[in-house]
Amino acid sequence: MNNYLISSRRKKTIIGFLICLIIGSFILNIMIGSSGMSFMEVIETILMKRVGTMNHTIVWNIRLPIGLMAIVVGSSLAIGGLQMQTVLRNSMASPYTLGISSAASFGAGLGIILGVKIFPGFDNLIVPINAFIATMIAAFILYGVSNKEGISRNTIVLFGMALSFMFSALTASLQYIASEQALKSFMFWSFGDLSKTNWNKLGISALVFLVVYILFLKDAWKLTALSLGDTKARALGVEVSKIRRKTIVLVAFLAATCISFVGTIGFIGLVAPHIARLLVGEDQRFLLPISALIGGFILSLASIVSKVIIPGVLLPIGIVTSLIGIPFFIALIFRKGDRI
Amino acid sequence: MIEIKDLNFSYGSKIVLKDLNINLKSGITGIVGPNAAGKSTLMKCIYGMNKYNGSIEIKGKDLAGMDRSEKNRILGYLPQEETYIPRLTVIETVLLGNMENLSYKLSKDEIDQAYRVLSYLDLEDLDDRYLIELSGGQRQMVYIAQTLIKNPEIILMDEPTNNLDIKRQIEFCKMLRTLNLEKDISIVVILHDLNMATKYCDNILVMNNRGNIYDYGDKNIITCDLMKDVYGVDVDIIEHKGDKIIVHV
Repeated sequence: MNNYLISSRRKKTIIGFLICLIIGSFILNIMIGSSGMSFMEVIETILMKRVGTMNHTIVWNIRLPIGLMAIVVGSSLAIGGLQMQTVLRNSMASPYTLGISSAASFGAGLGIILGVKIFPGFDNLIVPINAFIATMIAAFILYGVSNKEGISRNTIVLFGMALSFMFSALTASLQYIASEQALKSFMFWSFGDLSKTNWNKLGISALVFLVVYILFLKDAWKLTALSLGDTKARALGVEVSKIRRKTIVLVAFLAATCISFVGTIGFIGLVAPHIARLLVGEDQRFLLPISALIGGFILSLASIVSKVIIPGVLLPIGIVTSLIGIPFFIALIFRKGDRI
Repeated sequence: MIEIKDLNFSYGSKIVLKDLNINLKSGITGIVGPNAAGKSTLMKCIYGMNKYNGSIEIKGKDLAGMDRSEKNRILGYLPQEETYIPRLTVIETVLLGNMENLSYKLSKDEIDQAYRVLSYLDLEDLDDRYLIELSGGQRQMVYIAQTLIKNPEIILMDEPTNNLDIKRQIEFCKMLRTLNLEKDISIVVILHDLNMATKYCDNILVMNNRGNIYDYGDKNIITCDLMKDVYGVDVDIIEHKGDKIIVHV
């Protein structure tokens, strides 16, 4: 057996190990809460052996969708961050780079503070729909800019920063005129929170993740080639501008879906791809699933920590991921030989 | 082998290549000239990466009329190495050379083919090493292997000896000759070291800084007058065992 096959086998083992970790953290996440449950109680409830009990209601209506949402959102943010880092060749890129989160905040702010509906109808979903539409508007502006001939990735990053500042300024204006109550609601939204998850939101998020994941997987070789640089990738036959535009729109779509349902959850999209890259390198056929699994595991773990850090209080998960992410972020900045 | 007629190329209003006409012969061709003479731009035009005016024929076929797979079958292109070195292993990098034909789940044949190329270049022992762990010379050899996997008839190389010490430069140039003789691959290579060009290239294309060709021919075209006209430097040219050695005075 040659080294390539041995290395592939090792990467598959890592995937298997991460799947086990995710299952473990998922079960633990369901066990922990204001009313604790044993491992067996959780398993039996999931297997529909305790229908009609209080535990059944708690697990099926609250903890199961939240536990699964943590995995789906964590995986989505991780692959979004991975592909932003890949197409922009910037290790500090995340799914929120290029003004995506600022646009979402502005959209949510319009709904929460001014009660504006960008899309009429769906009164209960003003905030997620606004956040989604604002994000997609930002994404299509970016698409238009990156479609210009000869545009470099640095120009795209700078334009994204300009968009980000513009939406931040607009959001700050909204906050300035907001009532105290609206401001409080907006602040809570911006923390990032899984507690409002239900099966519908989970279903939509999972479907979007799956579609985007498959599309990325189809481009796995091209995305891997991009890691060699634009010119080398072009020399190998990759249509660099085309795949960059396509990837930016897919990441925006993925991030918009996550943000609109759970708010802004930072650092997963930055951290998970880096850990995955250290484990398996840049071959996207392995890097993509492993990033997704690490992202899902980290957010699942953060969901557990958010319940236990202050007993009886459920901290917004966005705060927990930021607290965990900051030390890693600092280590990343000072890591010798890392790309910037 | 590569026939260029009335080639013009500009970046916006800046003219880079102006009315180029040349027929590059097979063998090893060195492209030399001062910085910003348009050497890399010319190479990108020949590979079809730059939209140009004029015509380029590769082995009698119009480049503009070739589809990508046909072009990729005939031509290989080794651009300058970028500053960022990805976390890819040697074997993964070589496999990428065949990217357009690779299946998602690699077949045994696809893997074996990459190993055969590595073995040909004596790189087999480095197969699972990351590129970042290799020396500049070893990395260039890996990129050559990446190009060779498609069995091209012509390989274009943009300053492949940059960042190599003298020993690695010599080894690299000898390897180009081996490829030319054993695999019948013609090579067009941009070089800055004129002594290397005169020693290892069959023909030399000298470009001036006006986006045009100053001269084309064997090593005898390199003269003191040429060096003065093209580079603006005074040199002596010494003959040593049949080789020309250019010495700055």
